[in-house]
Amino acid sequence: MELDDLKGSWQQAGSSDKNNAELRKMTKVSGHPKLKRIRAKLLIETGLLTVFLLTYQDAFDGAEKPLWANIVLIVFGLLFILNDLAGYFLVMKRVKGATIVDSLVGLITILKKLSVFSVVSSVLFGLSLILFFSTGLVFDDNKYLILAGMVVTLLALSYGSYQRWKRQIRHFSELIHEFSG
Amino acid sequence: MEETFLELIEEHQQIIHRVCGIYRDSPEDREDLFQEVVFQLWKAYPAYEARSKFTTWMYRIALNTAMAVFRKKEVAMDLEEDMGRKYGAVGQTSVSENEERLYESLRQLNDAEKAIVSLYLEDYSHREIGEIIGISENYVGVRMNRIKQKLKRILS
Repeated sequence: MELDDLKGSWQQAGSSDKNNAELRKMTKVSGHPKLKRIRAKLLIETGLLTVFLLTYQDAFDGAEKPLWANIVLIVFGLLFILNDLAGYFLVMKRVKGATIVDSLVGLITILKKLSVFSVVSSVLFGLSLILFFSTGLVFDDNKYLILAGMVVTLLALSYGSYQRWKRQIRHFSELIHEFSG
Repeated sequence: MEETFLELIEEHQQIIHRVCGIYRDSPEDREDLFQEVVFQLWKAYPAYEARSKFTTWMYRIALNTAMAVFRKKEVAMDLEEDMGRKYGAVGQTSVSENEERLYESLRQLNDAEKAIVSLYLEDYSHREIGEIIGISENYVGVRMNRIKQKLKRILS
């Protein structure tokens, strides 16, 4: 069978099963499977961070910690939320170029920036939390060990995240290569 | 504006179904991609200029969306379960089984080849395919020859 023999079948394929109301729902964020999940994650993380920032002064003796540790924690906490927002907007509108290859090139550029922002903001937020809770403590060998363990875990998680970003970027670079041969 | 958009999508929704059919295996994944494509079309619609045909613009966005969603490679599943997942979830007629066979053959191509061949099957010229994808007309010809040979092996 030749490819041209498939033209008829191809042009007949596909149904018209979606009505106007169903299609309208799909134009809304609430009808988008991935955006709905990201929005829920964003709301939960923002909610938890807000509760934390409102209560940490009393619950975790924030007033007794140095001012710089408080500022660092708030700034990097907000940066972490900003990173979630950036991801949300990327998913919201991911097709931008005049051609398919242009769009993929644009997507790679955004993903590269977002990967750096995501990994850096996560590391900084993690470090600011560790710093906040460790300032003012009297360290002994055990506490140093726990601190080292926390830093190593944070770095390992960040490395894993960096590798996932790298895989995504490589996937799209390979796709462009498939087009250009 | 929304009404016009929805009418156009309703009229040409088969295009989205066809793109979903060759880029996704399971009915659930196709449904997710269908929603994603409609969403991206709606987001891009304000910038749509009637210089190109609506269906051409629609194809570009649909193909782009299908490829721009990064998906981890699925773990190989039991063959029987896999077949059930592909064919069993919705009531299939003999027509849709034929469609499914067509999609399945085309899914054996890589993502770039799927885009080129779907536009070819839609009767776009090499020049138009090149313009939609962003590669030269001559190169489309070269790629089409390779794809035809590859598909011949798949279909035989």
